[in-house]
Amino acid sequence: MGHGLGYSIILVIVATFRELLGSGSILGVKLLPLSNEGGWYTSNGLMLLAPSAFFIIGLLIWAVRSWKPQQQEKPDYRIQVVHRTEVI
Amino acid sequence: MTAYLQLFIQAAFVENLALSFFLGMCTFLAVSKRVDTALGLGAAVIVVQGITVAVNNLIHQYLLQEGALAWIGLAEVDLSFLGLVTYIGVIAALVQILEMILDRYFPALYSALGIFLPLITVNCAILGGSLFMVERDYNFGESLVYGLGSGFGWALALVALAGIREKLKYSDVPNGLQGLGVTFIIVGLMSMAFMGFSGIQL
Repeated sequence: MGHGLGYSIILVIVATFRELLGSGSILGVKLLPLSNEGGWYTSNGLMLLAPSAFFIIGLLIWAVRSWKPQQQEKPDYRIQVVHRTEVI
Repeated sequence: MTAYLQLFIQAAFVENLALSFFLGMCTFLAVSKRVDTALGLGAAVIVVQGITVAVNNLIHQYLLQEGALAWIGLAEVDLSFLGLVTYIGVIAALVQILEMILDRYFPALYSALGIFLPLITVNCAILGGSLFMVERDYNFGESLVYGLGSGFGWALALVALAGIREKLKYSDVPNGLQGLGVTFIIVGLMSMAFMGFSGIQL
């Protein structure tokens, strides 16, 4: 149940962003008047294509993991900060 | 011949299963940590996809399609509602055979792939290939080429992503974006790059 609800929430969030920015509407109701119909909002065609979904999910992961840091993954390697006196 | 080549290019690059249809995403993200396991899984997917789409095409044409049973005198029977079950069955049987072969001859690859090898059975890319084949009414030759092409495209995307992720461990990624997050951004960029292939006509 928890997994299913979480999946639905992400689905709805991603869809909201894509529909609003891609065609200026939510659930088919025009919110942002499009520029090619005389309004002020120029629709972002990329939002209707596949890549934007990946970007939105990536940014969502970033947001959620900044909010709950215990979910962050540990990197395999970390660039070591070396003080300049140690180099010599 | 040109038509087949066109279909192959179309299936592999323009309509890439992973990057433009989001099919097989879970395996795609989980097995792309190292290039050699990615290559192994990619080869397995090409083999499974190439064989299953062709076999499912034969089954669809001669057993399930409406009027397909005309050759034994049952012209009015329509078994297409059995499609999903049959396709899954064929895929499962083939993956089982592949698993035995890998276990016997490539034990290192077998243990590296782990749970994701049996998961090819329920990989949406494989079932998706068969369903696209039915939807687009391919004949046997086309479906063989489509299976190989789409499997190749998926494997190509997987290996490319694995290569990028191997190099990525030297980069300084923000903490919250570490791991899965930055992978999604990369997949998005790759998907944009693959969109550049659209409109290729031979």
